[in-house]
Amino acid sequence: MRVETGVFGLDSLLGGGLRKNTVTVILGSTGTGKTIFTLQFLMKGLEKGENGVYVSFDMDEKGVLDTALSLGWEEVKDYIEEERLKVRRFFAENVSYLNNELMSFIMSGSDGNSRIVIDSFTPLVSSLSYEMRNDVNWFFYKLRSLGTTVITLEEPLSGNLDEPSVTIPLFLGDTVLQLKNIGYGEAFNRTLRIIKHRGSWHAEGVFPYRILDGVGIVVEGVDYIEVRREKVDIDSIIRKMGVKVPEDLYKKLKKMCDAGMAGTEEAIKTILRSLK
Amino acid sequence: MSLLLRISELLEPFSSDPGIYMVVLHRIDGVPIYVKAKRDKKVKLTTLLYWLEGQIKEVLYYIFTRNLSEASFKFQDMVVRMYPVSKTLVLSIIAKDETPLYKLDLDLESACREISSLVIV
Repeated sequence: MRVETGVFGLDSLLGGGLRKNTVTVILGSTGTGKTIFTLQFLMKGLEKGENGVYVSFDMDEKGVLDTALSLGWEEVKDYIEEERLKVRRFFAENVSYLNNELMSFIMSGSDGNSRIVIDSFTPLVSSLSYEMRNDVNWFFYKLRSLGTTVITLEEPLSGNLDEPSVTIPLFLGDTVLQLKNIGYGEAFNRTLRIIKHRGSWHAEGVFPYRILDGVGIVVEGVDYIEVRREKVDIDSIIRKMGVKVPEDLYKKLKKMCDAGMAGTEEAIKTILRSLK
Repeated sequence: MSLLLRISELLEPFSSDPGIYMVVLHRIDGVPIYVKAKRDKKVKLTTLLYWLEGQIKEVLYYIFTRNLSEASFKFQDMVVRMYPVSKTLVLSIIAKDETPLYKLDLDLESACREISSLVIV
């Protein structure tokens, strides 16, 4: 089952959206639009009658409201008043991801189908070591049981992604999206890349995006992906190559054809040649 | 039509030239925005692509500070030609050494101008 991201143009690149009850990590440096992404994600759910939980380390309820209003999303005020959207600011020096208060707050607004945002996860894991991987794994496991989660992660300006505070959440997250902003003001200034999307097809490449008043993030490139899709007739290839294909392999190849990714025909021919 | 599709339509004809192995549009940080490579087992393009990613920033610096219209590098039987598109993008063509690229130069310059007009906002 899929969960719409609320980000225009992105769901098609993710094979229909995020997978339900998963943890998505948005990696990006300052100014890439991570907070806007998370608000769009929450708004989409709230529009559909779902509940939302927003954990922030730099914005209180007023800050979140101001950000939403600056983009023209006035309905956020109603969602907060109706307590369908719960917002709480935590202070990083007082809390870790194993903290009871944090977990209780997330649980209080979640019903298994909720949308949960932690913006950003970086203060919680800044002193993380590789030995603490299991703790983050446990935390993500809990989040999955409570709803569909999007967490943001600060990409160091140095570009060094080798720190455990970055690699562990990236490794344990189900989906990782990287937002880039090179700051030169051209069309490819801001780009999105899908690093991983467990259990699902996803588009490969670098997709430009814009942040627009009223709608937020708009990602381009769906038509480019559609044009590159391959329609492959597996039976015709097998006939032409004269190969006997075991039934289980045939099912796998058929599934591959249905996905229609670029390079499918060539990949199938390579596999079939190995059977000869 | 999206920017990526427009760019791919503009660059597609170059990649179908028999003498050209690969067409890449790189961003200044080394990220390939568009790549079209030929399947040729004799040519190891991956190493070259890595090298290119690492060099883009430096090469763009030289192209812009010295006002170059292009930069060329030779590797064994291959040649890499780089054309500046905008202040953040460079178009690279990897071709067989003996390919007469001067025939393509006018078309490439025209494509660069078109891409430039699309990306400068």
